Amino acid sequence: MTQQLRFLIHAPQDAKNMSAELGRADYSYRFVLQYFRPVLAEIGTVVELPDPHDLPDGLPGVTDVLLLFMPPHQIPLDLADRAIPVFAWEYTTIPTEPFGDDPRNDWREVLRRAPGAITHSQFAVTAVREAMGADYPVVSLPAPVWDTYAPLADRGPVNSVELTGAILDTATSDPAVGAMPTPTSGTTSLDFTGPVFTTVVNPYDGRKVWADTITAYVAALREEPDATLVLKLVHHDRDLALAAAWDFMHRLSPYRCRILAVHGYLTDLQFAELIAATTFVVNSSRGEGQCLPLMEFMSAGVPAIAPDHTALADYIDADDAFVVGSWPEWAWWPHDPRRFLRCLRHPVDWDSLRSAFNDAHHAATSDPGTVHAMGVTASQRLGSHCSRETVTVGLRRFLTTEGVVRDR
Amino acid sequence: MTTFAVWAPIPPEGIAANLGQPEYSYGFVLARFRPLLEKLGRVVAVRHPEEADAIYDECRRIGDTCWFLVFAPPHRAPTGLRCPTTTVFAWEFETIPDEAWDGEPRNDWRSVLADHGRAIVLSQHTATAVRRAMGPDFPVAAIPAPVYDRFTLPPLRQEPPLGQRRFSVAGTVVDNQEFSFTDDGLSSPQLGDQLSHGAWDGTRIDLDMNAQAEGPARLVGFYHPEPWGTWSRVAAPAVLLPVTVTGPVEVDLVAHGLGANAGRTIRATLGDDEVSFRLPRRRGHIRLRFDSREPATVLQFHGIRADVPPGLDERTMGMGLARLTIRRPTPVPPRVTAATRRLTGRDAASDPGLPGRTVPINVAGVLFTSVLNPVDHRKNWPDLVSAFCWAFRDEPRATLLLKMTHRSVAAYASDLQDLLHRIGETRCRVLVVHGYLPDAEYEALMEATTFYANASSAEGLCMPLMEFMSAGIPAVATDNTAMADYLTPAAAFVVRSSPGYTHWPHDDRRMIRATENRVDWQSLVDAFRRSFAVALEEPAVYADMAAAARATMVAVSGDPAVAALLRDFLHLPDEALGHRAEPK
Repeated sequence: MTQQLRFLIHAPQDAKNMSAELGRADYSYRFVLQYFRPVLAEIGTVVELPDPHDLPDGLPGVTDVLLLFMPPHQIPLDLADRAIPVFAWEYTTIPTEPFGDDPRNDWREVLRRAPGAITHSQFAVTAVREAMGADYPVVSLPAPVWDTYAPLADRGPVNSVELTGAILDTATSDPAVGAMPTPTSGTTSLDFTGPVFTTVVNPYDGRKVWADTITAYVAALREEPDATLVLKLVHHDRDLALAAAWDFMHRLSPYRCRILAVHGYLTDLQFAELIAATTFVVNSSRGEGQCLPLMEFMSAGVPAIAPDHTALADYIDADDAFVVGSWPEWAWWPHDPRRFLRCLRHPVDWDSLRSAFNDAHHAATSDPGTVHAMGVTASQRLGSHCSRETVTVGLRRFLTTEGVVRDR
Repeated sequence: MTTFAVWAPIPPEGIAANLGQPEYSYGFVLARFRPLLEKLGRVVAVRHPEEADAIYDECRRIGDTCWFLVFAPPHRAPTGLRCPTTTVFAWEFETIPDEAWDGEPRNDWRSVLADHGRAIVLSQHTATAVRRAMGPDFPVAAIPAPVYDRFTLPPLRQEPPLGQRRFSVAGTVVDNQEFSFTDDGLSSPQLGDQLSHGAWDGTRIDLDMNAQAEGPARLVGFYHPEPWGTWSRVAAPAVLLPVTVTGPVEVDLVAHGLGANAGRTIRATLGDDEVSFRLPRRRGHIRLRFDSREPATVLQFHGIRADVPPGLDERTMGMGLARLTIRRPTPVPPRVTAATRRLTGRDAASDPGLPGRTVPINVAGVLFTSVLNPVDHRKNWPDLVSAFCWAFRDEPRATLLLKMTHRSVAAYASDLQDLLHRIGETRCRVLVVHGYLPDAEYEALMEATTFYANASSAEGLCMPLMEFMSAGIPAVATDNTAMADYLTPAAAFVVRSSPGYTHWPHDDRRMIRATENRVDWQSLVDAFRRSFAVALEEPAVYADMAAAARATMVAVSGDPAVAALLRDFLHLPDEALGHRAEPK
């Protein structure tokens, strides 16, 4: 690229408050922006805008590229002809109806004016192109998470972690008791004796999804005292999140396997420790725009239990995961208040999830070499999927697409 | 001679009034067994289970055999009787309740089954579940209801019914082809009338909007109700009144505004009248006064903000509605009330169902029929409707008819409207029939049907499917649980399903103790499409499937087959066999 680029970037909400906003709909756009910063800095200069309308004065010889980390229907219309939306999408069709008297709800209205669009999966690229035409300038650039977590892939065995937050642990509280025990707080040291399955969930975001995980886990490993499921709860209300977890921990009793529900904003070191202690990272969602937690764990060499639909198709297969079956069903665009059935989502086959827990546990206890090899493959695959280098190359190529960088 | 004392919590003669209520289907099971039992001995229906002992004592006195057959789940069955007793029950899970709760020892079914010393169940799946809990030697027999010989069966069809057919039903028919759709709801020239009992007689009407009440059924554009009430989903939600209102009326709401709608002034219309009012921040009483010259059945609200706020979930925060009361502002002279009653011929407040009228139905092309209890979530009718509409959204030659078996249309009308609204216009046709069909109408419906459709997640037997198959009608159906005993690809387009977690339906603790199946929606779509193609293009294949359906049912649920199982399991004495009329 010959011209000098200045990236003007913005995501809704303030970085200072991220832990309080955890679990809210827009928080992940913030994380994605943070991940993109070093890649953008590689290509040009970066200015973050607290308000996307407060555009700085132009500089001679410098071309501005406005990246708004938000879905197209949130792009201010007066910026639509210069803002490149950076968004996640996990449905087979993009919104093409202007519901609620907002023309932006028909994404085509925004995308048609935009210089182009950045999303995070080939699945979303296909959905955009189906509505906008095969030559529409849209690219899949996953959040470049790999470089941060890849060093963990060389770790030795880790059997204990220290976590700060509120914790419910069936090893210390009998889940047969109906009333929720008082969670431990502060920093707790936890030891594991066998395979650790970790899932990062918002218990009020698609409730069925994590309920599938916890029920399939117990159904598969009820009699295995060495197995542990860690539910890393992402939700701004600690008590609500823990109560939702305990409800299932109790109603599944009796079981001998262990369940840990953890609520708290872990330090980077603690999160790294949790990843290092994890044998399998688990995902049972009906659709993913990219799935940052899964990418983070897998970059660190943790194999997965996950379906291979939507964005997951880009990096999940039998070499790095126990693949969970799924099927399509009619669904609605999540921000459509009419809930009109206009797209497909992909709920998982619970029985297949249960089998995957069984198979993964069996592999971890009888064939650790295979599990290790899956982890190595996971980190390699995520390296080619979402390293800074991969994303930088992809972004450079995208910016050379005609019309994407507009001089003004 | 053998005497069969029989009992069901809701006896066959009470079924029509109790459709869809808990345990109503045991009345159907008893009704199917009874003619066969009468061939095998003497049948005495008891009103209370305790009466069985007196009958037993009488039989003993004269040297006869006596069995007490309890058509009920074990936790509803009597224990400690002198009379030899067996439950005849349906169960759709791979585990039977094996723990007591709520201080009711019978909730541990093992205690009841051990007391009886035996059990009759309706499927092999249930028999396996019983043996799992009671031990492999426990006497349990899988004896399906003798369905095959209960109907006047038409000759075996040589080709699928596809041409113009006309039949009639007594009840109410909802037809998606009559709707017009907007973002806020759906409307049809008939819908308001069909959900209305007729002209209002001035009696005060209260509609509670909580999850236990029937009020939510009349809501258009609201979310599924919660214990306190419900809240609106769209900008112009509506209430379909149970009566047609003209003239002065007071509508009292217990309502509030949520999110951006707290304190917001909105409008409400009834007929040709309109009022404005403010939505309070906290739930409170609001009185609206209307005076519509036009007869009106729809109370609609306008001007609610309905965008999805950023936050916890993806639902809009509209108007909360807990209760709605309709009353005359001043007392109405009694003679007016009486005159209105005469005109409408019924007392609206005392009739929770809908007016019965004979409605002709014309269909052409491929007709898929399902007969189900809409409040039984295992029937999974929303999947049936959505997969059908997805498969045939551009196909006018496909019709899905749901015969709803429930005493109250209010129990499912809001879910039905919500689903049809969200699907929107399709070229395929969805008919929903509400009403109790006498045998002749039921048989006419069978005759018009091309395929029976069933997307059940679990069944203890599924009699309607067996009845239609007996009539030689191939199926589009899941083959889990009880269906595994009689559903094969020879007679059905098999829909894939696989287990998911659940709790026993009568366990209020909701302990996760069982699995039930989830239907593979794509597989259901595929089965609809394949069956449609076979009906149109491969009549010979269809005829083979029809023959296979009937042959299976003769073998599984014909009187001779079921009689043999009963004789064997109950060790019926030779004398009883002598009283048996030879089944056809």
